[in-house]
Amino acid sequence: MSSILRRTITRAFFAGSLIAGAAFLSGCNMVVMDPKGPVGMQEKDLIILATLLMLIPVVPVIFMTVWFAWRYRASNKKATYAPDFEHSNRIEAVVWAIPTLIILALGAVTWVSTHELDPRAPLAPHETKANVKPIEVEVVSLDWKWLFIYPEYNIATVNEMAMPVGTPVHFKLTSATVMNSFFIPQLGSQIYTMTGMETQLSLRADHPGSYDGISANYSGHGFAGMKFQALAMDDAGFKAWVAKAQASQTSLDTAAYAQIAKRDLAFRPAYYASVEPDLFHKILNNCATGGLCTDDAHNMAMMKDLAPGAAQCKPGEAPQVKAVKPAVAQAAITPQTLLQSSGAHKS
Amino acid sequence: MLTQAEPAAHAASTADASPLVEFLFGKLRLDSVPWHEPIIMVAGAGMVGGAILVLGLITYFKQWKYLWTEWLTSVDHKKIGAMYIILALIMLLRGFADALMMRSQQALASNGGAGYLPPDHFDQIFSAHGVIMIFFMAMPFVIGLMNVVMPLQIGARDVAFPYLNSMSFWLTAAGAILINVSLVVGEFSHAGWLAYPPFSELEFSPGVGVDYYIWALQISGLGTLLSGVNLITTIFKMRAPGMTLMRMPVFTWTTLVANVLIVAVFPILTVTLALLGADRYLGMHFFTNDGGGNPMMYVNLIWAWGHPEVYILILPAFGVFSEVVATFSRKRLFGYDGMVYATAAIGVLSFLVWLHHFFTMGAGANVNAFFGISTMVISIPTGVKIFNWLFTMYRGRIRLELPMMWTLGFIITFVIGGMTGVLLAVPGADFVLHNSVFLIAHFHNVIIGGVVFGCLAGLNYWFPKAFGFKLHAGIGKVSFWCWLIGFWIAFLPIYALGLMGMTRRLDYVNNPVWHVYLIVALCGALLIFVGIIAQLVQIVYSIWKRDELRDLTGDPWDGRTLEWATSSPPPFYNFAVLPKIGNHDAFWDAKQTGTAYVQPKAYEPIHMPHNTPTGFLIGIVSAGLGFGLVWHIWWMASGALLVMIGLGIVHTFNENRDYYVPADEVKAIEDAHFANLKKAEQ
Amino acid sequence: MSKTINPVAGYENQIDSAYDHNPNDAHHAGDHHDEGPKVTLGFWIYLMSDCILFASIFATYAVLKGNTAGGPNGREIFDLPYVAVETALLLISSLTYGLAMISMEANKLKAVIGWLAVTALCGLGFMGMEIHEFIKLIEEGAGPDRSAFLSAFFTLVGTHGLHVTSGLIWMGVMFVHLFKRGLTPANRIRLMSLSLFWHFLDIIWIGVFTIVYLMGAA
Repeated sequence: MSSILRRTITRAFFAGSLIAGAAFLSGCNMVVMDPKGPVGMQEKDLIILATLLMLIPVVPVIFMTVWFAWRYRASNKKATYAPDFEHSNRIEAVVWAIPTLIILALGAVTWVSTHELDPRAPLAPHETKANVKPIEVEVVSLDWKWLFIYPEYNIATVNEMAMPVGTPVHFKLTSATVMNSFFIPQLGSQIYTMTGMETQLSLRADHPGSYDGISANYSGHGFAGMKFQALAMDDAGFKAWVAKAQASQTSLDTAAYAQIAKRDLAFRPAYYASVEPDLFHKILNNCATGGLCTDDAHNMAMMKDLAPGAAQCKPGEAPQVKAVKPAVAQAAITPQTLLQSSGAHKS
Repeated sequence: MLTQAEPAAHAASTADASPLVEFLFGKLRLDSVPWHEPIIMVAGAGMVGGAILVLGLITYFKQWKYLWTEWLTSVDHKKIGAMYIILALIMLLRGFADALMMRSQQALASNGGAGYLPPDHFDQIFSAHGVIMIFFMAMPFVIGLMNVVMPLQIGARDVAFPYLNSMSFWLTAAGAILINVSLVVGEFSHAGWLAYPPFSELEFSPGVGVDYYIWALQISGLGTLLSGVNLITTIFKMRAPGMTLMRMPVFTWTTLVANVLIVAVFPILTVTLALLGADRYLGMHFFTNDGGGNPMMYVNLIWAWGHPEVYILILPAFGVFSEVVATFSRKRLFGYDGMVYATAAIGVLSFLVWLHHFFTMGAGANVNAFFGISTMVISIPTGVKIFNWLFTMYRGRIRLELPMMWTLGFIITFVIGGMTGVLLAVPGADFVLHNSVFLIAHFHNVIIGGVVFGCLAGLNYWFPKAFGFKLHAGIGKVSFWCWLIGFWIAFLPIYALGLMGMTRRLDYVNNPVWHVYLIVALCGALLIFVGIIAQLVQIVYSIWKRDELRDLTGDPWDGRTLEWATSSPPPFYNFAVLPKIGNHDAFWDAKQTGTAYVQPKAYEPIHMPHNTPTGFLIGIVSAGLGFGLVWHIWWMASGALLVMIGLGIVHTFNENRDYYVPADEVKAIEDAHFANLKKAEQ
Repeated sequence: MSKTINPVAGYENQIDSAYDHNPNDAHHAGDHHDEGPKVTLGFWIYLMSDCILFASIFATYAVLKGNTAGGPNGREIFDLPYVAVETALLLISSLTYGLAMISMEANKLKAVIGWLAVTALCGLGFMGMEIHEFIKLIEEGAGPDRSAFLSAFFTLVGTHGLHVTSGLIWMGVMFVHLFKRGLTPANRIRLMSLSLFWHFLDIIWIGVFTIVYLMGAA
């Protein structure tokens, strides 16, 4: 959305909030209304714009309800009484037209903003850091904790992540347990994490700070405690944070992963100096603690289809043919496939 | 720290059982009852005590025979409808107790405290709250109203399949029984009201809770489906002469569309739960994490049912408001045709929006935008309805009786719920609001403000028709204001908490800033509770004072549609002579032309169905089927299934299903009614 | 006042002409003389809902078809000639049911019972073959718990099989009804409904045969 539009909206919001009760909506605790990054900013604007558009019919309706109920009360004999007034082309045209027009406007905003806010769409860095590349972070939801893997730095952390201010972060997410939702309310969009599926999300923090991260989707016994801190720091601070993790005594190998994958609560952050190669890929394919990887099984099935009886691939062995990700291939008529064919990811 | 110790304990207790015990009791053991949980024990004791008290009173007053012949075996749509509503009110109490426990737990556990509910218990409570309120409060209430009113509105003498109707009700009741049994025997599901896998799979939910959930919903869902078939057939085949589709009252129209939706989507729910059951019982891999299962498919399937379900609930409520607004404005409904088209449009569109329940699952922008916009499009016909109600009030003579107050409260509450709903339909906004308590506030806003207000409006409106006396207005107003104000006190803070980033389903929050909001929300919930109690007091007090509140005319509100043309309560055959219809305001027009109260010279015998216990028996046995399946007591499950099939087959050999009411008997009943009318005139 | 306000008088003649030439309808709307259309409509509505039930399972099967999780796929387990015989049995049973209905129209009770018996035998044969196929697959380690594909396969085919079984039980009850009372109006309605049910299952099976077996084995 252009900045002019945003400014207009902001101004309109101030006007609107005066009417709607400014104190209630603009409280300083409304983290969703106090975003610290571009994704959250745009989402906040959307909330305000949609609210204002909807207030156009809602306020008159409430007013008319009260007014009509009072004006045409049975005891008011002065008011007109038209017991057979049941049809008016003009009124009916208006009552169909008003909602239709509002929905047309909101629909257009929805179409554009949904493409802009597509969680898969890459995010530009802040204007002060023009040519910076996004940081890759792999996220795994466990019972009931969050695992973050930084493949570029070969480190991993639990329940704490960090990012440099102004640099976009590209998350790849999955779950090693039930479905969860990865959400840092002050940075914007949440996204589901699901076993065997990879979702993506790009976020950026424009202000340094420590932001609460949560699971937004109920996942059982320890769900309420499944929290993490997202630290947004300047570049030097981030470097120091990475160094702190690299200096850790432990590394995240299969045994260490099996340990943290156990069903328990882990409130304290943990740091790992190195990570088992391809750990995220293995978690995604359900073989991080051993067994046949889903994508290998899938490739074997593909080979059987190509040449029956030719499947020689053994469990654990790297497949020869790299097929599409099973997560996508399996979900024949789910949103993921629709999205594959849609091909309309705006950049 | 904590692990889920409970399933492990469970496994230990079943492991060392002898084969005979295993055969007789399946997984059920003495320690399946949570003796150590004082809250559950007190609630359970209350429930059992209440049941014993009711049974004792029936025995003391020697009412068993009356109960059996007049209610349990009745195939009269009015009585079945009344039983649906009684069930709904009982379950409203149960569901609201859950709500109060959640609100108080969060209020207590938001300021450093731990509250009084351990997570596993809290999780069961919010799951039970959702399931009970949707399936065993809202659904029976709405179906009850449809049952009582719709046949009267179309001038029919009963529904198309009266025996099936009785069975539908008792299957629903069996589901409710199962849910209540789960409170004491074992546990209820802790997987939320929709039981998303993989969480609801054996791997993560090894207890019997999810099984209770599955079978309670399967059994009651079958009842709902059969009821849908029944009511559609009734509307298509049994309308009074002259009542074309476009002359049907709007409530009948919304009943028709809601039941078409029931028939179209309840099979999807049946399949979804059956597949989850197949995973749990037969080790299949539909939604499991391993074996190639796909949990996303469950989410798609359950919402393909779930979103139309919302409209199954709200459309009949819209129908109630349409009737109430016209009657209490003493005016024809504005834009009848538009109302009908809007109802049908909502019914069709409700199938095209299910994905808005999971925008955050990672679908592409085109898909999300499509479902977002299709969701918004629903607000167009909904908006038209609201404007039509307003223009019905315009230039009317509005009487602020209880049903009308509920309607006004509804319009004001509902448009705000609609506004937040459109907000959530914008995928970009949903990305930050999804799964938050903002969403909770939104759907309570539309379900309480829409469905519950509609049901209570309907209850106050049609109660005199069903029972022959009005409900007390003063106590009703207390209930109304408590509900309305309580709702806003309870849910405005919840809206705010959603914007503060509070997620749903938290057993503790530990955020001192949120504490005060949660306290306010609890106060609102308590005020609603006062409203519910006032509603019940209103009913009891009105029964006590029924002679003062008596309706002799059959038309206490100066009504417009056919149900007001017969006496209150209507005779069991509804209409001695089938009315002929020329308009959707048939009775109003008849009153205008002076043909409303002309007694025919002669009556003819009336053909009516006999009562039958088969529906009741099948329903009760189905509860045994469910219980056996939940606890893997196979002899009980298979035995119950065989008995149910047997009862159904035996019923087909019953040739004595109907009889003729002699003309003399009809005349006697009608003479009494006309005598009452004369008395009312004086 | 508009014209519509005076409808009772206004529409009287129209209504009389529309309804009065059938005295049964005019005077006893709930009479058993018109039970038939009600039952037929109700049964059609039920069948439509059953159709959606099968549609949901078909959709599930389509989604999970490729998820063999290292287990066998359709081509490895389907025996097309065997299923073709099964299919033929069911199709023939539909034909013989049709002949039973023609006999009913001709009021030939014995022929109805005869054709119904042939139908039931075909149905029993079909079920026997299906159960045999299932047992064989489970013994080979290709049971419903092997993979999502096999779960969906067993559930889809099994649900159809459960329906056929219910149809057979219904047929069994139907024999007793026919022996007891002959071709009464009530029994005609029952035969008619069962006929709808049976042909409906035939159509579903054609879908199963095409989508599961033919396309799975190709």
